[in-house]
Amino acid sequence: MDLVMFGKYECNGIFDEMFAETDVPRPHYTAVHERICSMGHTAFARRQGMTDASFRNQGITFTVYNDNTGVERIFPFDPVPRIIPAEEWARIESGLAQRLTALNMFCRDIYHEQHIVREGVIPADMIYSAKMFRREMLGVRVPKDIYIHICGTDLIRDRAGNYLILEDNGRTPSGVSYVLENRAVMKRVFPMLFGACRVRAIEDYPLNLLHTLRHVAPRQDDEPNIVVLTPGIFNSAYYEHSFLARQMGVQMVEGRDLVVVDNHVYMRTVAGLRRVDVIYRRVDDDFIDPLSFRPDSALGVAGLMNAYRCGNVALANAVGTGVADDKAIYPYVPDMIRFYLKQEPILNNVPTYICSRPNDCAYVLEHLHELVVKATNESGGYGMLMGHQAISAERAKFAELIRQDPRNYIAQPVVELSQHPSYIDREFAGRRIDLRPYILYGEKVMVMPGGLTRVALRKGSLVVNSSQGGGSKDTWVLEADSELVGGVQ
Amino acid sequence: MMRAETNPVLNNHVSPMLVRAADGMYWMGRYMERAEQIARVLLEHESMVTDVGDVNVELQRVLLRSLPGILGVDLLPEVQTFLQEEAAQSFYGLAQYLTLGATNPNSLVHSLTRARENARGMREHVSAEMWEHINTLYWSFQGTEAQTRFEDSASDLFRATIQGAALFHGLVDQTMAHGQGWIFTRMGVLLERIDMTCRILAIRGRVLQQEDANLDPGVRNLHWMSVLRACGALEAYRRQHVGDMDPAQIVRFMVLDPGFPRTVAFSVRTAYGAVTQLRTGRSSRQADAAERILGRLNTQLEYADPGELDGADPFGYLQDIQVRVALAAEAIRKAYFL
Repeated sequence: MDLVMFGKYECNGIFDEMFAETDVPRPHYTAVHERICSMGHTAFARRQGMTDASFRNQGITFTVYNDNTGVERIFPFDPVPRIIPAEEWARIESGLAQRLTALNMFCRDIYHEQHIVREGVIPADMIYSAKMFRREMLGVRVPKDIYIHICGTDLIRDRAGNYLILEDNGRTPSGVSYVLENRAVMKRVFPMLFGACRVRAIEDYPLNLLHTLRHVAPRQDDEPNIVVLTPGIFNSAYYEHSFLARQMGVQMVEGRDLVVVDNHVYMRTVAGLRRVDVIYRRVDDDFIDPLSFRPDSALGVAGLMNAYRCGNVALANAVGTGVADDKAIYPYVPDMIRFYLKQEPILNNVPTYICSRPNDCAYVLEHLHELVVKATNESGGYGMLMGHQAISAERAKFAELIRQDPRNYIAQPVVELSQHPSYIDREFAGRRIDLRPYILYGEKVMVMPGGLTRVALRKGSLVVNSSQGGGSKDTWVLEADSELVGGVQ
Repeated sequence: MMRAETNPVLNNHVSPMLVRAADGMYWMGRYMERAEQIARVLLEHESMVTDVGDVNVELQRVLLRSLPGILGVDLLPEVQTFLQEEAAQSFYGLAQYLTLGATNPNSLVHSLTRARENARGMREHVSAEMWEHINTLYWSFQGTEAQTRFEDSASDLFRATIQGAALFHGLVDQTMAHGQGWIFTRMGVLLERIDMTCRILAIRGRVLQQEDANLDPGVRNLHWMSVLRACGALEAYRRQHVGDMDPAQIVRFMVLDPGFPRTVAFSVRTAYGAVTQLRTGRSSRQADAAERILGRLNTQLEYADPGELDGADPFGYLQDIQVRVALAAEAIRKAYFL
């Protein structure tokens, strides 16, 4: 065995997923650690090269925009798998299911009776000032009362290894195709690592997604016609849209392929118009119907909202779910869980200061140097201030922005994300990671075992977004009884 | 809407193909075939220049100048600008432009790129194996790699393209259901093949006919062998016709032979067969425009009098076929892609 493999590895004083302390892997990592060590650098590096070629040849890419020209990039892949033991996962799973149930009840409530506002749990102005709140949805019944059918919730771990919810993505979360492709590539290139422990399969996700979508079809008697609506080939997640359509065996459409006639949605096929029942849309609310929202949108379908309101077509996710993942609503999710479910939250939020509360705002302005400030309606790592790393001019700029529009900002203490070994320049080195599990809400709630583990590949960086130099790795959730199987071999 | 009820191919599917997807499959096929044909024509031209480049210098010049026309790019303004340049006067200069030229919208590399773009736009209709193949082929010609490969050995690059296309055809036939997507892909391949084959025969044939009196019989043989090779048909022709190359016989073979997959008659028959599968009515009286055009052309070629092509202007006959194929392509576009 080549003990030099992890010879230069440092735990950096934060929570390390693989090592309890230097050179001592945690029990659920022991077997994989052993196998990696027995491979040696030459074999490991060669196989890493194979994974890169495999991603490129399969066209598993995303598009980066630079000077208006899109460049196709592969999403950097790190071959060291992240492992989550079964009992740890069981808690995450129930926490996520609990959370999504409450979020769906919240959406249903907010667009109808608004009990949660009337009983003073969430102030009304928080709701009405949320940019993604859609008045058009007030009083609209959506099929089966489900709003967020597909949710991607981001989890991080603090210094003690506690899982915390960083944010919910209840609009059009992306990344699940990378989870599935990462697994496929890992199985092809590193089959020997899988032998070390029993990993839960994830390949049934597309089928589960299909069932989730079928569940809300307005016409239940017939085989419903389900489509994936993509903004088109220039969208950065285009690969994922086509991937999911292929995996589910449904067609992928663009706005121009659809037409609304008499409040029914049809697609234009070589055999004439065909009725569409469910649209898994990967186009934002703003662009989905130029008659209802942005009139300059060429990505949407004119009249879609009317067909939707008439109940002739189902949209997943529903229009208006953005109100639930507004960053200033996020601090209220634990209260939602208590309010709707009469339960204590299983997974905790990161402590959050809401700048529209005067006391919070004052605290934030005084402690900018130790806080992370986020614009409430931004995502993808944009509109963010990392107070502890920023130069003072940047902090001053954010202080001014917060004063001008406090509703638009929240702040959180810096959470030291956990780190995990990555293979970089033929060395193993600790890099920060997060976790985005995908939760489906259909006939029942289904949580995909694992999810997308994103890695901040830049040394010391806390930002894992793909647009900011992040990569990903395969995520293994172990079968309940398998933790030590490989370890004793 | 009515079409779906009556046609089994369209109706068999859980869901008929999107208009946009059908269009994409068709163009994927067309561009892949175009890339292959460019490779065949240039590969053959290079070999001919090596063989007889130093005899009949004037003929060589004319043949070189005919290349853009054979590849159907001679009327594009960008290409015409290039043809004035010094580089366009040598085979390698011109071949490089026809293979990689940044301003040439129908270069070999551009054709592969567009085949790949179309495939990428309808991934749910293209099998994973097809996609991976097209994508890998595309990447092998990107950036400075194509330039380096061309300089190292242009003929290797052309051979790689021809082989890549062969693998594409194999994957189309073996990894896709022979339904709508397959039909549209095949239509694209076949119409492009007929078009290009007609152009090779008409343009090269006419040049050689005009120069015929000045050609030494040996050189004449080499030139006509070269025409057959550019059509990918030399061996097939030889199996049927031994002895010296006979221009009339060659044109007849390439247009009328029913058994070889690269002839006009074979391709028209196959394209006609494909388009009838899309027919909505029961009888041929209800055929749409594309089927009518290809059906009549098919009958003309199938029952052609062998002497039909021996008239004063066999090349006019070829041009007539090209026009009708263009009309069929337009009819398909109107019927299915709009």
